[in-house]
Amino acid sequence: MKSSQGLEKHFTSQKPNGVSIKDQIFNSFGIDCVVVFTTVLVIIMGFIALTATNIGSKLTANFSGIATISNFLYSYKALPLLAILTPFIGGLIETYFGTKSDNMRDVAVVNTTFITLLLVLAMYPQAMAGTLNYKISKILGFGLSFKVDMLSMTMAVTTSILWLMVMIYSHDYMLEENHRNRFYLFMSITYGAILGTVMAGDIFTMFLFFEIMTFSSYMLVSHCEHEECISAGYNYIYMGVLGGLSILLGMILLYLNTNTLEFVPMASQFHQLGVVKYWIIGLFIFGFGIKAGMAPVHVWLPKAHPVAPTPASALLSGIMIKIGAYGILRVTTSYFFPLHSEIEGYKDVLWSASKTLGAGIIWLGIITMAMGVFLALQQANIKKMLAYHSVSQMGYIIMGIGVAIYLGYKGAMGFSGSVYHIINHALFKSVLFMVAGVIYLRTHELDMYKLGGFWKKMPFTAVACLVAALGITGMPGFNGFASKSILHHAIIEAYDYGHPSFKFAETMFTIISAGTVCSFIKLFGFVFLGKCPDKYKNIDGGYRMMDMAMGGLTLLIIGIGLKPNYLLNQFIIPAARSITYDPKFIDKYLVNMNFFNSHDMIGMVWVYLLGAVIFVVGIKFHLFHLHFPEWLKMEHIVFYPLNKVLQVASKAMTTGEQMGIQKSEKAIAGASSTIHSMVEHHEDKDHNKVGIINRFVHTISIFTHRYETNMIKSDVVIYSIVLTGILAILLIFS
Amino acid sequence: MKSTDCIVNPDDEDESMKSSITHHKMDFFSVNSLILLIIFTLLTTGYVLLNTRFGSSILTIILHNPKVPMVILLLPFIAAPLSVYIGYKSEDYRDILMVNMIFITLLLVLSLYTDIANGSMAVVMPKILGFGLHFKIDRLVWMLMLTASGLWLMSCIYAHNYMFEEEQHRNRFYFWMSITFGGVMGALMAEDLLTMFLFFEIMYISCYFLVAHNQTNSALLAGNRYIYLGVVGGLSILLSMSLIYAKTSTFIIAEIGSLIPAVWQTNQMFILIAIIFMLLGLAIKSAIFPLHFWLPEAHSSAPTPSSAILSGMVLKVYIFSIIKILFRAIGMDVITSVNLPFVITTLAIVGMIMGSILAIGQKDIKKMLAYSSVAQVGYMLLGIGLATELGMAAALFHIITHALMKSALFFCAGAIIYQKGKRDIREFQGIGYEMPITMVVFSIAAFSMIGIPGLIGFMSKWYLSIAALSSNKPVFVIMIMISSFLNAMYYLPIIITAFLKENKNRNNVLVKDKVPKTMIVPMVIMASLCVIIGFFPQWLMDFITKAITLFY
Repeated sequence: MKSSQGLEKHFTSQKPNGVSIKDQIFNSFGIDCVVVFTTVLVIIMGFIALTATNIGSKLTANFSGIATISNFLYSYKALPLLAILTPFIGGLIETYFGTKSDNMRDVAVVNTTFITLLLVLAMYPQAMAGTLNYKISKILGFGLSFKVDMLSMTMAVTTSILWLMVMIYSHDYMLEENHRNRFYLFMSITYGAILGTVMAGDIFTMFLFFEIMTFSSYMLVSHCEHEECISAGYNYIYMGVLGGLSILLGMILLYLNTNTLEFVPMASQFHQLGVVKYWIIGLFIFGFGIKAGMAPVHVWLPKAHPVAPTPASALLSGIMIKIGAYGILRVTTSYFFPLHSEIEGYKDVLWSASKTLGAGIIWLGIITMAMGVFLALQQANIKKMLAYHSVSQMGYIIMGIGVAIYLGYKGAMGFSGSVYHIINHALFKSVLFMVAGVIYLRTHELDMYKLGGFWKKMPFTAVACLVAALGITGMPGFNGFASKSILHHAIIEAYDYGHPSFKFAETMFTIISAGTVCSFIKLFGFVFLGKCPDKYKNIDGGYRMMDMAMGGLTLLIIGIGLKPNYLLNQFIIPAARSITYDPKFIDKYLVNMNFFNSHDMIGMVWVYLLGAVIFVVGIKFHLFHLHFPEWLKMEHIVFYPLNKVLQVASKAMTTGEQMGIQKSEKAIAGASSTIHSMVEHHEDKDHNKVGIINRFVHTISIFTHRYETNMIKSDVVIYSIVLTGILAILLIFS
Repeated sequence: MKSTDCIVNPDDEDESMKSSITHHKMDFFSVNSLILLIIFTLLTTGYVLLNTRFGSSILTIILHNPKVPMVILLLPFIAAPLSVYIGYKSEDYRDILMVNMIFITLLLVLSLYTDIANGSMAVVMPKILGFGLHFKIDRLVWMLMLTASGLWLMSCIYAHNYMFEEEQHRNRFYFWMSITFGGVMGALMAEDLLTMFLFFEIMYISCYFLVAHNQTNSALLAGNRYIYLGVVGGLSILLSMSLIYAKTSTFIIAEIGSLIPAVWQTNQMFILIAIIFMLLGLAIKSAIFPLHFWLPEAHSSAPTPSSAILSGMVLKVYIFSIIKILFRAIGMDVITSVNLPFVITTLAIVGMIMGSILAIGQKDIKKMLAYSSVAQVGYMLLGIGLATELGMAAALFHIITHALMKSALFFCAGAIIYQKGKRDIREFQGIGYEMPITMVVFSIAAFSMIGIPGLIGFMSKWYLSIAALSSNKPVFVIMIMISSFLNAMYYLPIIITAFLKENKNRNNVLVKDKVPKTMIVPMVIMASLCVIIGFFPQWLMDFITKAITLFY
């Protein structure tokens, strides 16, 4: 792999810095991490105890101190702002410490994240009551507005827990990379921006933080600074800018047509708008869909995620792409949903728009799922495979969102499925990336066919990988099972209540789940089972801090898997209730849902069997080494005509130029510098691998050289044009 | 040159640092004493001015003096020859004179506010040039004058070290810099066409010397192109003026405005030709797209401080004059009846897109910035072409926005040229680690150009889009978005190259910029203004909206 070579070079150049990884637990960082980790465990336990039982009310009744605290938590409105600012300010403090020592900086990083987590958790009471609105007017023209409901809360808590774990993990990993201060600074900015995005109370605030996130995460994607990173980064940033502009356009249209930017249900207002409403929502979905890795615009994702440093790719895949999904969910459920008071039931005319939109989104989701999984099966690079799986799992989430919109009043199942899957995917995908990171640190190899037998060398990593793999494939008892069965119910409901064609979608769903199973059998089998290559006989196990981070997330995966109802009851159902869904439907189907019923379990057995069959067949006929031809690639298909036109245009221009050069060479010998650059460009661009943006830039520069510069150089032409123009005007009018 | 002791030569920085400490003795104690002294003086003068009769009479003289605009106009013209005289003695004193002159002008402009807060202030110098000079200052003019003097102050501070290291013939430079300042002030305040024309001519002749300052072949060529086209433009404005005068027998804009509707009924063709020539002349001077070809060479070959003012303010004067003539002299009825908004917006759109596209192909950073100016002029023109108050407010907002962003970008480009001697953007690898402050300022200004929310450029795009949509032109909004994307395509690679690519000769290790503070401070101020106004755009927007109601 080219990327690994590039990284290898980094390591060698790293050595003089004198940084070597010592697996000491008793340094300041290790102690701090253990303390923070145990505190978080205790806090989560306490949180669950407070929310799931009625200990909380007893405590407040009996102890006045606790009552004061809870009163404060219920009345202090600036919490969202504090939670967002902590990482931003913390980032600067971290950078300052970073100039002193790595350990001190990482202690600061972990503590900042921990404080932010506490602040986020402290918002729970108000978010539950639905009263947390905070506005800063007189800033940025429209004012910033924050509104934390249970949906935002769910996202923020997931983000914070995951972030803390990844920060604990990244200490050891990042010692291998350069520019660590920069990395942590942008990490913190991204964190703050993500919190801002999910807590935003209007589309303007959301857009602001969304853009900050795009740009700061760019620095994470192209952190390694070698060629592949930079080109993946270009892909990422240009798509990101495009997405941002399309959201901006949608926002301007929205503002002019409805005169508000807030997230309030406004289907009745939208109902009168005609076609414009589809433009608005389409622009939003396109913009957020780019970040979410939705089917036709996912091209940046499989490039960007593998090249980022592992902690960053864990967070990119774990959280960042979910922000896109969250954006779609938030925008559609606000703008295409009516108020409870405006509608009479499921068949109300106000639902018609969301029905049309939802059907489209479901199919987009299905296509994303299928494409992601089939491309993932072809990958040999572990991180690339995981990135394609992220695309595929985003397909599940988008499909869930589609059902949530398509079924309108009865869409609560799709809604909770997609939110649940957002949480679950964040957990297991980051564990999987972390596993890949550990393997990479020990072997500097990511090609799974060249690895094997590591379960003896690093048993803990193997267990974590197994748990996460079982989670992503949907084994009962692990978290993926819960969300996948809700999503499965949702798609079944889509054809029960809606169009019969979704029967086909349900079949696709099963096949794709089987594909997922197969590719994780492949991953686990090739990396951890089998025979260990001689090269890696002497490698060590994992790192303690990294193991601790993975262990924490693994515990969460198993915990959610064993008690799936806790999250559903405490986070997701309250979130669904804050949106215009039929409360009776929620009470009947979602509250105290029985996950471990025989029908769903047997369904999973079939999925696993099918997956195993695909695996065996694939190995036997070498199907996993198939590579799709170049022309099947999405970017190739989409941009082919434009690419070809540009190619032809630049060719035509350069050939003309070369002839011109030959002439001018006879005349003037000195003009060779420009010629050189022209010919260079010409040679550069002849092969097909040049990206569309690059080709565009090349064509433009040739165009400028050939016409604009020449035109400017020949003053005579200019003056004659201007003078004849003036004369012509004089003649015409006099 | 005697004044080398305060110039830091990049090669022997350490030595000069040591020597500067021993020479200047600016330790913490003396800085502290200075600050205390300044505070004491301020308090005493404040007390005297506000509480004694003598003080209050001085205050009235300054604040309500009808002669202040005259002083503002004359100061640069007096300072120009003086600066040459002093410049022969000592370069430092010359620069001190310039900066102080501009600072005093800035204060005088500020003191005008009481007069124009709720109205306008007219100044007439009768019997000069046959027809007399008429000036009028209203809130818009005041705002632009403030911007101009702020910008000039910044570039003069910036120029001190930059010019010393990079360029020759500094006396000449400061002379023409000062004259240009006077020309800009005059052209902004002008209330009759003749005065406007007079100051236009002063401006472009003095700008010629700024453009061709290097005296290299290419600079002279660019200067030639600049001056010939300027003459063509000037003649066409003159023709148009005389046509208007023939029918209305006045040069004063307000009077023309009241006479034109009647003339329009009888002499449509006459007025139409006048409008066409006026716009042609102003289009050449403000580099509207098909007539932009003089700009990239001219702005990129000028010394950096003057590139900043040429792009930042001189172009805007012509654009503001377009607003003045179109909306106050010719009037909305005539404009809409000849379908002028359509023509202007079409030109604007083409300019926006083509300017950005041509900028993508550039390798020289200053040339790229100059092409970007062509595109940005398109934005302002779009706002004007909408012919609504919203559009005009957006255009004026963008004038300020662009002045801030583009001067910050030019200052950064100058700092790179100063420290590294590089102009080719392909050679900027890892420069973000050598000149972190410069490149952070560059990034802020470039992000503002692209339109990242929270920065001033975003708000001006937002206002422009709202204005376009409320006059039912969604196509324009899409064009603005495309142009923003193209902006991203040429600004982002520079930032990425600077921060993420490794230089062959140097590891990416963070060090401080080796650029003198007099160059760092102006660009940091510009960048922080971009952020501050980006966060509180309504301060500026409310001012502009109120100013527009008083403008007609």
